[in-house]
Amino acid sequence: MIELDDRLSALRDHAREWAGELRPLALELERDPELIHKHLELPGVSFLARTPIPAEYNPDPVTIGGHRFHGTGGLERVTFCEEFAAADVGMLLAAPGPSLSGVFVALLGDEAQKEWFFGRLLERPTWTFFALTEPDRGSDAAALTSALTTAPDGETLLLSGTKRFIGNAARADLGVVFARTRPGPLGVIAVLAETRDPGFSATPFPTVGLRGNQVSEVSFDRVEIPADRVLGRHLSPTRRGLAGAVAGFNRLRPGVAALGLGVARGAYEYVREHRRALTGDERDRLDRLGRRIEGVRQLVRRAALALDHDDPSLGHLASAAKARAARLAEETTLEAVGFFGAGARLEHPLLDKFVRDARGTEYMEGTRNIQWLNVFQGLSQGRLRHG
Amino acid sequence: MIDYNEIRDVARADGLVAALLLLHLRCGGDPVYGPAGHAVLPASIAGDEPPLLTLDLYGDTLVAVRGRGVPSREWSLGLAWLRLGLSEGLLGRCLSYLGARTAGDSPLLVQQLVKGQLAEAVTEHLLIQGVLHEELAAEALDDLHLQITLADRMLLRLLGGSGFRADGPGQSAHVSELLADAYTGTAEVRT
Repeated sequence: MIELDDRLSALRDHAREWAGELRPLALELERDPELIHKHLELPGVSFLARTPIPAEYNPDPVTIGGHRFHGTGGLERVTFCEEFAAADVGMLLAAPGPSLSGVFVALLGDEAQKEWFFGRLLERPTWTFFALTEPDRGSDAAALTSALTTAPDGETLLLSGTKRFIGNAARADLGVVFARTRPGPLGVIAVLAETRDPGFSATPFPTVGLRGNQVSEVSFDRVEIPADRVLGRHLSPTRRGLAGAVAGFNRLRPGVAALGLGVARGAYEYVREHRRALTGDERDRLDRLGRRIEGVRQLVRRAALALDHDDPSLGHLASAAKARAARLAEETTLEAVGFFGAGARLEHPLLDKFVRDARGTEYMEGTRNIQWLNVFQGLSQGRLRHG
Repeated sequence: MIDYNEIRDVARADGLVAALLLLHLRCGGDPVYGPAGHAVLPASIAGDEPPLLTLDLYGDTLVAVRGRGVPSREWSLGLAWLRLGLSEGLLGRCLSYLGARTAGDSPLLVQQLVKGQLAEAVTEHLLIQGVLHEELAAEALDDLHLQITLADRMLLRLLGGSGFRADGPGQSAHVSELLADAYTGTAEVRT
């Protein structure tokens, strides 16, 4: 069993308290995602706005019980992600902060880029976006077609293309965009883009759940990218492009898995809270759900520890955890509805929200087929150690 | 006597709202409420009561409302055929989507993982179709509704993120789930 130490237990307890304040706001935020602007002072939202930022770039991190938290550790991240998602994953995804982009900047950025990016985020609550997925190619990074061409000055790059399923793009100031400079696998690079620049536009579209995230279609029409905004310009081409994307996703997936885990737990706790007089059979069913949640929690923590220990099996474990947690979220939320009678989803809007949000966790950072292919790769390469 | 195949065919070809209007028409035309007094229906045939929920689906508006009445046997069976038809329609959309989309140089449709999952979904459809008959007990019908939901979920995963958009087939599957929610299950639960 992977248990939390005193430091992370303190984080979990605080995150649970913060998330508890967000839950009563969940349905309101779904109806109007712009209401996030009213909640920026809440400690939970403020924590998300300032994590993950590497220690070197944040002199004033969140401190709890004498412990400092930057949000960069794997186990640290899955711990607070689970707590927030058990309350309202929509609020977590609506919050400002470095989010997905922060992971890529920390991984691929040079000193100046990190100082610029994280410095902007510490000035005031700032939203970021991460754009890789394209309309006809999904998350297949090797096939992306968004193009970076050289401007007449010979240095500046011009970014053109369309991205889809990009969270927070319409409210973001800056973000990371994957695009290609030339054909072939080494032609893919990541750049830092600013949304105020001419040629950028983001249009939110409606989704079944996770509405706080304001998922958008983003279009770039010759958006100017200064040469010093190419992420990983100090790295070799083999490390900064597609390899960088893979490495970044491997680091993100334990956190995404924790979102699925949290959604499942939220639905399970909803049943415990609202169905106190259970029959024997119902008690058995609920206990079984509780055990499944704990099992997946262990898998998610194992992936998180692989991140903390630079374990080469990280990518495979993270995919296993992500696929399994999304399945847990789907199954648990549907089973939770079965504890209430006809019209349960109409009479219990928060439970209905968990059911819809669970569907969203399946698509984030790749559906289970993509994850399974990663897990198989680990299996075939002998990287999934038992024990 | 309702022609269930007609309901199923309309659901598969013309979608949820057309099929739901037809089912109402074949069952007398009035709003029908589930065991705990909920209806999910097109706004055009709902009364004036304030809705619990309003849903947009391909330009149509549906509402969830409270009321009184016990659904007839024909309604309950017709709704299962309707949802099966919708799931079959979703399968058709998956085939077109996956045939047009490529991974590497080949359509997603020819990937072995994808083929297996489509086969699994159509097998569920065949199974449901095989047991969906007039004499089915109410509890068994409720189980079939859950199986239809699970078949839909298998198919939605194959649509990737586009299956999560509220202006596409993912929203139809969502409303289909809410129909099952309103019209199946028990009238009361102990709290």
